[in-house]
Amino acid sequence: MSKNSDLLENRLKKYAEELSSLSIPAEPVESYEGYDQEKHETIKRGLISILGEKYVSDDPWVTQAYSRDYSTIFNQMRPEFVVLPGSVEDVQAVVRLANRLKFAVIPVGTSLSATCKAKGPNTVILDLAKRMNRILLLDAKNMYAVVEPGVTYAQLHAEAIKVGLTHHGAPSSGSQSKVIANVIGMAAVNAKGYRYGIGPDNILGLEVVLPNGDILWIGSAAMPENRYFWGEGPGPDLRGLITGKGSYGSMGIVTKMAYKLHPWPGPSTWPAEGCLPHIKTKLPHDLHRCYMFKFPSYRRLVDALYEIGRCEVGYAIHSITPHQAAGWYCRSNKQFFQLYFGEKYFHKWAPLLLVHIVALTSRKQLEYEEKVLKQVVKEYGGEEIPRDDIVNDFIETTAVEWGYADVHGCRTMRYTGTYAPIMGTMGPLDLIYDVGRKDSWQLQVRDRYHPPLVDVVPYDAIIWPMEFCHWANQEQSVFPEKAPEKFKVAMDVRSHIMRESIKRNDPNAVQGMFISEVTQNLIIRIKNAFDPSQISNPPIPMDFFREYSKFKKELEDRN
Amino acid sequence: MSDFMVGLPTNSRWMEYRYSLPWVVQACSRCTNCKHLHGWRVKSHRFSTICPSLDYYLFDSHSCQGRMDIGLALASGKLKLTNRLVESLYQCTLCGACDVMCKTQNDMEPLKVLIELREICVLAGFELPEHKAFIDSINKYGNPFGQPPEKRYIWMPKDVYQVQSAEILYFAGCTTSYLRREIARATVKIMQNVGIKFKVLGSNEFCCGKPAYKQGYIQIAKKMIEHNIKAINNMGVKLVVTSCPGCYTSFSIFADEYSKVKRKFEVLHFSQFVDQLMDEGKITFEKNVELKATYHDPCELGRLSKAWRPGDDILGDPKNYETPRKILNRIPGLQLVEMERIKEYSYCCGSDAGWAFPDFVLRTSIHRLEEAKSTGAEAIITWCPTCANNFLHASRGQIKIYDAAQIIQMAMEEMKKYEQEFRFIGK
Repeated sequence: MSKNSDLLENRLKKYAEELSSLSIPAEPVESYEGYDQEKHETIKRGLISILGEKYVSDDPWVTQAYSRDYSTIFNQMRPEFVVLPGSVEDVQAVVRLANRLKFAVIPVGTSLSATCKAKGPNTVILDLAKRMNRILLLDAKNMYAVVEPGVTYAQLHAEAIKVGLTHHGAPSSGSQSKVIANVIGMAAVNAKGYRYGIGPDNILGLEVVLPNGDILWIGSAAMPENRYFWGEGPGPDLRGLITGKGSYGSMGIVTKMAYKLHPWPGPSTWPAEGCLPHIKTKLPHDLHRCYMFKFPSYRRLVDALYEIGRCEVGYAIHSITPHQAAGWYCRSNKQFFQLYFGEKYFHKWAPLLLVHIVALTSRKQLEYEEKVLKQVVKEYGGEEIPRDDIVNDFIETTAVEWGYADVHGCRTMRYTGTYAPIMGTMGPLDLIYDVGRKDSWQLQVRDRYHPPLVDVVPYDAIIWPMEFCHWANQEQSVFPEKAPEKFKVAMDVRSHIMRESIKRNDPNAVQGMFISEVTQNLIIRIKNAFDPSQISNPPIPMDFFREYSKFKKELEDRN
Repeated sequence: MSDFMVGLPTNSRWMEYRYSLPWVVQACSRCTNCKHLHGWRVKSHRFSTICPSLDYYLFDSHSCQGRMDIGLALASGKLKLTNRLVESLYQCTLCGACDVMCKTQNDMEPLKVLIELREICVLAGFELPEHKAFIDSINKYGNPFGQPPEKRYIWMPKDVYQVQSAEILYFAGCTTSYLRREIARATVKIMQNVGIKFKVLGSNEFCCGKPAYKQGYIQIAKKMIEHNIKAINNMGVKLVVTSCPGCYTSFSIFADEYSKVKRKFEVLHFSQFVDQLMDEGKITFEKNVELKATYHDPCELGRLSKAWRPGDDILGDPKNYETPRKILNRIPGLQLVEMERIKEYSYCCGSDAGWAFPDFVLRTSIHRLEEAKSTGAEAIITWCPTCANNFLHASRGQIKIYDAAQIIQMAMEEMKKYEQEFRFIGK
């Protein structure tokens, strides 16, 4: 045996040993149940005839690169093909082929979502981000942009601020996320939702390839010349067919979106100083101000939020946990462990409210908002967090990230490698407060699994107040160390909370579970009518119903 | 219940990072930041990506994230090496832009993974024919260009004199010596002009090892750097000055990690050396250089110019971003304008994939030149012979290309006094 072979063998053996406890990568697609080589070749010929060989791949190393989601451990599976459409006509042709040959199509942008991964054989991933990535129009006068699926929040933001505008806000996954995928599939919840609502509220028009390959233009986009300025009709507002948490391209593939832009009083390029990763930003003080308030309790914080919303002051507002503050701020795992676990530095900030105010109309308005804000905070016992080096640094490096050009959710996963969302609640602030209270039954269930799950978020949850605090969004995650058996524990927590919700008849822990049978049936009927062959990202949107029904039946059987 | 239940990770490596390929590939969170410029730095839609490989080949398998996935599957035996897979691993310039973005999120070294995957390919006998040819040349001639060693220093101007007692050695490097000799000529002229006594290794200078290292031929790279260190140690010099940032990092980072022979000298890139001379008042710029130009940060002189430790504030040595700009800004008449992607997130010139994928390299260079032209600059200045060489091929005369040493030479008054003195000493 040659020296090189020995070296290689030893190296591979070492890799395998180390990986065995860390991860289970996707299996070759040929090993999937139901895989049919003949059908594979037929699909391949069809795809190549539409897109050309260059933009179709079934190479295992290419499909492997589309096998993981953001958690990178959940349901890893290689699709049979990845294709790169270059136009709406390409997308139409692929969808029509899918109807004819019966394979599933899943559109992806950034490809972070676990829901947009292959779920079995005969799956084609449409990577829309690579060749359909133009900003087609930026209408400064009418304050909107028309974008293709590959456009990122950062790109749109950079172009919009040149003309004094900005978008509705970047999500916690980061400004590298694609606008369309995030708005359509994830509802684009963020801190600027306080003023501008969720992402779908900002859609003015859509071009959608339906599951049968037809194009649907929604709102005024259906008029000649595709004029995008109004999405409400005529007739029923069809945006709801396509958008919403849990839709994920299951009712069609969005190929163009007209998206509202909002005023941006500030520089025409983002002011950033220093080198990565310690990059700082200073927005002009006469136009932008950022505050970090600490309250005596979460109850007081929530009450203050009601009042802030009632006064309609503030631009981007949210409450984050010490764990999130640490995750976003720290520049190394070592620093994270030292500050968060060692010194418990960030716990001193809790309950923390971050408020950004902006001179949207005038400097006088900014002064007014600041006065009102400070008065409300004082009335509810809040106070500004005393400035020290970390607070100053946090404001310039982290606090203003939210809702603007750059947020990076995976920083919060830096000390375990993954996360798992276990609850997601939308509702009035009081409800969010109840679910996030540390003695709530939901968090008591969660805390039974710590350890082995790493870390407990000790002070309730992140709160995104939306639309001047008319309602709020909350998401609870757990952080298992990245290893299959530990991730399973995280999934157990989620199932436990879902079962417990059904038992208690408490619909507040996991969104979507308690949808009435009438609504469920309507959604299923719409899906079946639009997509009789079940080719558009199946089985979405039926996942929720199935899981709910399973747990409900379990409970009934037990009783 | 206490308000703070601590469940720490059981694997201490989450707390104290140590590099290993399996660890990094499994820790990739697929966040996709490796494909885009940091959000705060994006100035336009057009110049907002950072990965030349993904920009050209389009599928995620050609991004850092995709290659982490491939690494994961290879390391766990779920994917087998094939010729086409190996090609895809080599269709990357190893510019490290992905590495920079990744480190803003996590304690990770994906660039090391990319190199280690190439090493695996070599060990498994999957060599690209183009690489085999240049490796054979390195083995045979000590340079990757198939050029005879005795021709290495034929560029040395007749009126520049080496001083054998000098404590400074000029290490020109292969690209400067064989392909961009005007850079080497400018460099030694500047040194002589300000009275710096120097000498060279001559035909005993071998490739620094960086090209072999980057293509996964680690043993050959070690052999090269060890040869050079041994030869230089024997010459008793205290300082080595390089024109090429790749040579600089080969001595300053690679050698420290891999070479059994330890160097007994300091190493500086020529930009750092000029900076020292300026601080000492030895270099002044007298002549006007009427030029509107932009500066291209070479990867090896920027983000790859310093070994990384978790928690480091700055990626690369910040001095290597500021020094060239400081020097160029002092040149009278020269108007320096900035491109959108600079410093640690500079877009690569594409050269390091040049051995096997010329189309990819050309497209990458052209894209960077377009960014340079968008500033209104009439010239692009860099401080790396490989970047300069690559840009010259791609520019087709549409924009002027200079190494900073050439600009400095233009700005300096020619002084003959040292020529006389060194001629005497040299003899």
